[in-house]
Amino acid sequence: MKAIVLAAGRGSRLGGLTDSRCKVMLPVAGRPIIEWVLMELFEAGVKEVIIVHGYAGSRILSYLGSGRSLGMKLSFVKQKSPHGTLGAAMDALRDLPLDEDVLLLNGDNIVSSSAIGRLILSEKPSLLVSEHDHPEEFGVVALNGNMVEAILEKPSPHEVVGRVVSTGALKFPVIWREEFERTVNAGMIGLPDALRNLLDNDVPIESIRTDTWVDVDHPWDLIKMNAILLNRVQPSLSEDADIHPTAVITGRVHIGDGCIIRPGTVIEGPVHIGNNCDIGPMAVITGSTTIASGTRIGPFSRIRSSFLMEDVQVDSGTWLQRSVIGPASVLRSHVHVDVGETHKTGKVGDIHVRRLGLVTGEACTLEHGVVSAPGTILGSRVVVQRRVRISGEHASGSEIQSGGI
Amino acid sequence: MCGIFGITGRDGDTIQILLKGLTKVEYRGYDSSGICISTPTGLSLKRKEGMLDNLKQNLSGLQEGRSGIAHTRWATHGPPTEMNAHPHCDPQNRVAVVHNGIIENEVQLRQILIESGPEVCFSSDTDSELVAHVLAEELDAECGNEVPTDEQLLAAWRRTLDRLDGSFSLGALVNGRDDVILFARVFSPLILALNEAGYLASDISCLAGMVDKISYIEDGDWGLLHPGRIELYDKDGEAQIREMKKLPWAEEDSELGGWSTFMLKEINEQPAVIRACLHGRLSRDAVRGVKISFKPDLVRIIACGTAFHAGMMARHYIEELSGIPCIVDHAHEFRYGTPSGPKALVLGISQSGETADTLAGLIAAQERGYPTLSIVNVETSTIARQSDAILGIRAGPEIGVASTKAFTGQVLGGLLVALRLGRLANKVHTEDLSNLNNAARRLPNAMERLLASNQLEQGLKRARRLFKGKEHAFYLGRNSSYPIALEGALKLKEISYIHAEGYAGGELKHGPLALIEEGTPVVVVSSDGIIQQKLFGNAREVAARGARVIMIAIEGDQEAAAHADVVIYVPKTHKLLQPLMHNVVCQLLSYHVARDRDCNVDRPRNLAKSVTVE
Repeated sequence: MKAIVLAAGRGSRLGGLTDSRCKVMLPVAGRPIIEWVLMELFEAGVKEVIIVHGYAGSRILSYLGSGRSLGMKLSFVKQKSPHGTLGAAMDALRDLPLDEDVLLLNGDNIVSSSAIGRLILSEKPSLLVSEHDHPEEFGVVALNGNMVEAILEKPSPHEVVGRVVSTGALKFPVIWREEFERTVNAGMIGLPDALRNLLDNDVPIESIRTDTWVDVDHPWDLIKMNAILLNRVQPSLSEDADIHPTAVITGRVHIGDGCIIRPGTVIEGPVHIGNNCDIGPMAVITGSTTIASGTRIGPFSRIRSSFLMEDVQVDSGTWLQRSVIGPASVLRSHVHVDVGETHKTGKVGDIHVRRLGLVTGEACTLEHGVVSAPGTILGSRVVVQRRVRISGEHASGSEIQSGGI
Repeated sequence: MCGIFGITGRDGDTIQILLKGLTKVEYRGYDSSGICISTPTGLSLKRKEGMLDNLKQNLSGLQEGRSGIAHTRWATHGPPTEMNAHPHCDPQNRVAVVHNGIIENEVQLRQILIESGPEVCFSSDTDSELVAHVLAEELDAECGNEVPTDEQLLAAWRRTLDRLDGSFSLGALVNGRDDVILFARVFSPLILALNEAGYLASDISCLAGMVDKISYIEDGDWGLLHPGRIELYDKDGEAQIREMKKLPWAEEDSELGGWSTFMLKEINEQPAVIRACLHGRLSRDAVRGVKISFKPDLVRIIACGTAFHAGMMARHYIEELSGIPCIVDHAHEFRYGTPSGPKALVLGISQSGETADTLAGLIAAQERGYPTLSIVNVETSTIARQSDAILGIRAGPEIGVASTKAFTGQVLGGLLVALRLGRLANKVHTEDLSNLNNAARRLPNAMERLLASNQLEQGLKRARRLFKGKEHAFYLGRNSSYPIALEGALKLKEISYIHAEGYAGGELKHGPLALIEEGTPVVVVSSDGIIQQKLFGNAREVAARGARVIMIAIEGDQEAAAHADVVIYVPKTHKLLQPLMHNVVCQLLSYHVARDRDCNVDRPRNLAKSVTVE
């Protein structure tokens, strides 16, 4: 069976993290999210995938190539129609034979290969559903037995009928594209709208449950996704890495080509370190942490449960935890990131984030001695001057000269 | 120029493998192509003019066999017709030859052949056909009409090569010997590879995915290629064994994947090229990997085409950072001059490392006693092996004929050389290095942001409209943006066939201004500071005469919009790196204008990648 993977979205709720890439190209646990999705598909026996790209789609083309290294045959469709997920799906369906079934997945969240396998085996059109703590942020699914009865997209809290939500993963006959077209012509753009129309016409849709669904909506979701995916990383130390004999490496750790791990550095897995990183001396990296390629961590810095993207530079004596640091950001010496609970505004209402440090967009600079309050979120290219205490949210391009909590 | 591919020892899929390989070297020339297969009943030949697809659709009658040679041509001698396409045979169809390069004693050879017998007739205008005639003649002298043995083949092949002058790589089939290919390499690229079969090729891209190890044979090497075995002699006739090396690029690197063109793919690879090129070389307190051990009194840069523009950037860097005077010459012109100055360093720049003019220039420099350093992409190329030291730009295979990502790598290579010279001259201090290093680390991300930006997409959309129906365009720059203006103009003319010229802004009133007409598109590659103000002045001057101005400006430049019809903003970076950012916009603008005119951007007319003839 062929699969369609939707990868056209920017992920605007991720702020500056998607200034130069689409959401599916965020390198969580050493691989772009879309590659994790493709690996699950491969595991489930799917070898042919159509990827619908849009915003910053060239990053996807550059990274995935022909798919040969994944053992898959990939083809790419640029989303032409502006009609949301439904338009994207229609662009991909255009050239498929009408008598086939097809899988549809989101490129920015991960469902397991076994769940995909159950979708494939199901005889009816079927929708993968999962339970979620904030169902109001998603399409809530009302069930009758295991059949889908209704889908309520981002309902107000009193409408929520349960915790079961749609993962967006779907198997259906290609012929549905006619229904999709009717829905678009009626002025609706979401896949759930089309499904609702189908349900109204008594088309049966089976629900299939999964409890291994990892979704990213907000920046802090990346910390959780990172922790989950790091457990799937194959431990390996590149022969091309220069690891000093006094470095201590324990647990599930991947170190990429061209890395230099300097004396006295401690790395406790699960940790993924990309290519060409320069770490230490005497740095401490503990799980669950991803350090993407080209990053430099200076002496005596300590990093825990964080996601550092490409070309980040952390100087000496910095303490960073439960944080997401955007590419090409610089954290000078003695930057301290506090962690604690924080309240954020979600799509619908307040979201309570239990433990969060700092989130920065691309190419931010935190000068010496900056102290960051829990849940601080910076846009891209924000400059924070020496010894300033930062908190709250700051827009891209701002310069923070002074401030207190 | 011209791509050769040959294979011996396959069973039943020789044609298919030859076509697959030929597709990968098509960028070396695409005027015409052909295949010759050695079958038990004789040599089976098929040639077609035009692109390789023409040949692929006209294969009927071509017989399968155990050995074959194939060729894709960039015409030097005679127009690109079927008769002039390779492989070439002698009149009796006893041998077939593929050739890349030039036979310089063509006229004399032709005369001798004509005099040798009245029955000699030539079926093409090419110098390559003569090789087939000479080889057939030598075989005849060696063994008459008998099938030659290995010894007889070698003897005839050696005498053939002795009669040829020039620069060439050759592959040849002999009727009756479908288990062997004759090869020779003199100043033109040729690579051999083995598994259970034997392979010969102009470059590594067609071997990726077929074999793991290859041998870059030396100049003057010749011999017999057998399935699984190479019998090789050097120019003195001594038997030699050449080292087999691991193939540096994966097959996937030279494939399109989901891209529509190689050019667009390669433009988008530039952030990765920056990361790769600077890795381990530039840090906050040191420049590594640039093998210059003395402070020269003069630097002479030699290069052609896009690499020449990279050389102009290098000159800007070298003079700015080290204070050492620097001269940039076209490699082909450099040869005719007499380099002066006692302690000069000669710096060659070539993507393929096979550019014949640059190679000849470097050899000329070495003969005059100058140390040579080359900035190349293919680190195993002829220029790389000829030079005293090399700096590889690590850009990966560049397939699009119009160079894009290699330019970025070459400019960074020039910057590294300048920094090294600046250190040797005590002009570059640790603080300067640290600042530049910080900016360089951020450059890939900034370029990625530019490539993803909606502002760029919209700006290009508006800018390309201004080129509609136009046959002339101008690019203006000053100081460090001047080479970018030249490169922008070169890119536009090579792929869109619009006549384009780059000028230094200051030169405008000394002549070019006369060419500005109502609606002429003028691309202003801006800069900042005082130079920016002067370029604004130039923009006003051309606009006053009816030109439509496209300004490439730095983000946050409020004033730019007042002086242009279209402004495209690029992220701000270190002033030494800024030109690279502007250049991306020029590349994409050329790309889109060419696509709007339905031009083949990867295979522009009359051109070819790696110019291996002078």
